[in-house]
Formats: sequence, structure tokens, C-alpha cells
Amino acid sequence: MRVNASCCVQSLGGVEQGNDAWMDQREMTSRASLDRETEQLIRALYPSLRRFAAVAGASESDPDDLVQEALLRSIRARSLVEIEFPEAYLRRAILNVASNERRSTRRRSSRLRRVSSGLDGATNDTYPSDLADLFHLSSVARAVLFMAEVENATHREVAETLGISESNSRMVAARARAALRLNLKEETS
Amino acid sequence: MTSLEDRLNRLSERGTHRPVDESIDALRAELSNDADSGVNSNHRETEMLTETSDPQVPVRQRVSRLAFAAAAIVVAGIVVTIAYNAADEGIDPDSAAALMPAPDETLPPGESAAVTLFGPGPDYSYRLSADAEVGWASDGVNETRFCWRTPVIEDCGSEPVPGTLPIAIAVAAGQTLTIVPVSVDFSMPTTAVLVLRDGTTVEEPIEWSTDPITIGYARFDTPVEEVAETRTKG
Repeated sequence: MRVNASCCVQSLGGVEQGNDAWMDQREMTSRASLDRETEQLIRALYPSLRRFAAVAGASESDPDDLVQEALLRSIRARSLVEIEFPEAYLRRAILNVASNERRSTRRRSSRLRRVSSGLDGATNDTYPSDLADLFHLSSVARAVLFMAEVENATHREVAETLGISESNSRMVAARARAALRLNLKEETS
Repeated sequence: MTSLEDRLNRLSERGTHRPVDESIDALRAELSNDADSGVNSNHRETEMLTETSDPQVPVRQRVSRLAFAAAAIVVAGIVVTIAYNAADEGIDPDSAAALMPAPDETLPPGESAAVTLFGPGPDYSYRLSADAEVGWASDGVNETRFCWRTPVIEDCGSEPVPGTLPIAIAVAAGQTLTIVPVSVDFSMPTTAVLVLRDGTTVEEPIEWSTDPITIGYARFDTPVEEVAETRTKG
């Protein structure tokens, strides 16, 4: 039976929590394998997933690690070849991992600031300023902009892939563009 | 200045590229570890089953353990239910909403925002607080419009993008609600400040909503006509 990716937003969140808290090891063992069909699918999707992970991930995260973590979580949950839109499913998984990493990085930065005032946990300074600006946006905002601007996806397509509403996709893109324009103005003034 | 498309393209190529074979090997190794721990888990379960069926444990003791476990589950269920109900109703005595003045008049429950304000483009609106609905409209090209509806007024203005000053809007009975965007670094200030025409200032805590987007509000027992300036701090 094939599974529609749109059905999996909830279960993806569940998997994320389930992995952290508790997992049925026996079920996982029977499901989690890398057969030839799955491997071929991963090889075909990998370049696109990596690019997406590089955009959605925080500045200090490694895109390949993000893709690998998302693949691992997804394969543990279900067979990738049974999913109707595996790339959309995996992109959402990457976004979930990236968002969680961003939250834990923010908590870590906050702890660091408490210990040593003036120390900022962000490592954006390793990127040129025009790329560092992008890291001020949320993972979702970068993902929406990337799909709309680079992949020329319509907001309907962005929404279907990322599991958000079409109007929310438009709103996120507009707000992100406005925030980038504001940063640019502050730099030039 | 490079285009946004170019910047995003460069961003998508960042980092040291790992060969896909290496990633697949790593994935295979992780899944193999899972399989190993699954075997161990089964083994542990077998041991536990053996222990549980050991006749040395008196039946009465087992019954009392089961009763204790059932009672614990019931208590946990009640606690979780109460917590969920409290969350649904917005009852959090420590939240900023509980500290700021209560709304004198609220919008009718379940009624949607006046979407006619948005024009023909796609729109999005939701209830931010009991006395204010907010909404956005964008045709994907032009500036996004931000609109609001309270018991006394419907209006639109510039979108509260990160780093801009809070918008002061009139709500019922001489109260003012300030709509607060996140700071330019996307942090969330804790306090909204109104500078009044007579030079005095009043402060209220900001309640933040993060779904679907991060936006805050603070309610003041001050008529909007008396407001000269809005600020945030914290």
C-alpha cells in the first residue's frame, strides 16, 4: 500500500517525539533496513535533500548530518518506498530536525550568555554578511524562500511540501523578504 | 548586492560535501546498530517475562502492584487532562496575559475577521486575543498588508515586520492594545511601553503567540488617543 505524504505530518511529529522518549525496538528492527530500492531512492533524492538541508539548517549544523538524521528517523518510522511523495516527506523531516536543532542551539546560547555575558553562541561570522542575514530567519522562512525563489515553486507547491497553508507560505515569504530588506537598510545607513 | 536567489543558491551549496556513498554507509551502520539493540531488547524482555512468571512472587503482592500501577495511571491521566484543559482555555496564572488588564469587551466567540478589508488577494487571519483578530494579505509581490478587528474598530496598516515599533490599536472601553513584532534579531521583548502625550510612561508585559507566526500583544487601561509613542524593552 502506498502512503500519501500529506497524511504524514502528524505522524512525523509523533516519530520525532517518540524517538526521543521511547521506541518499540522490536518493530523498529523489523522495519529498519536499507534494501536496494530504498538505497536507489536515497541516491536519487540526496542532492536535492542536501541543498534543502543546507538552507533549512542552522549555520553551525552540517547539511549532510541533517539529511542523515532525517533519513534515519524516517526509515525507522516507515518504508520510504511506500510513501507517495518521499521527497516532500523527507523535506519535512529535515525541517523538523533543523527546527529542533535551532531550539536547542538557542537554549545553549542562552545558557552560555548567562555564564559569560557578551558571548554569543551564534557562529554566523564564518559566513559573508549577506548569507549571515539569512540565518536570522527561521528554518521555515528560509525553506519557503528557497523553494519559491530558487526552485520556482508556487506557494501552493511550497505549502503542500512543507505541510503549511498556502496563505501561510505567502505570509512567511513576505515577512522574510521584509525582514531582509530591513537588515539591508540598517547595514547601509 | 547579490540577488536573493543568488544568496539562497550559495547557501544551498555551503559546507563540506560528503559523498553520498559515505552517507549511505553511515546510515546502514546506524540501522545495523538499531537491529542489534532490538535483539538485546527482545532478550531483556524474555528475561523480564521469566522473572514475572516466577512463582516466588506472591499473588497478593502482584495484585497490589497492579492496583498501584492502575491508580498511578488514573492520577497521571487526571493531571494531564487538567493541564490540557488549562492550556486550551489559556489559563496560565504565570503568563503575561494574566498579568495585564483584562479586556473590557471581547469579540463574539467563533466569528471570523472582517476579511473584506483585505481586498481580493489571499488572506490569513486569526484571533490573537479575546478582543482582537489580526490578519495578513499579500498578492506575493507587493507589500503585505496587516489588518485588525476589535470590538470598536476595523483597520489596516503597515505590517509589523521584525524590528518595527508596536502598533497601538483601540479596543473597548478606553483600552489600548499594542501589537508587537519580534525584534530585528527575532528575539521577543518582554515589556511593552506607552509614552503618553503628557510625557508619562506606562508598561505592561507582552503575551507572545508563536503559532502560526510569532507576534505579541499587550493591553493597557489607557485610551489610544492619549498615546504619543510605543516602545518595547527587555
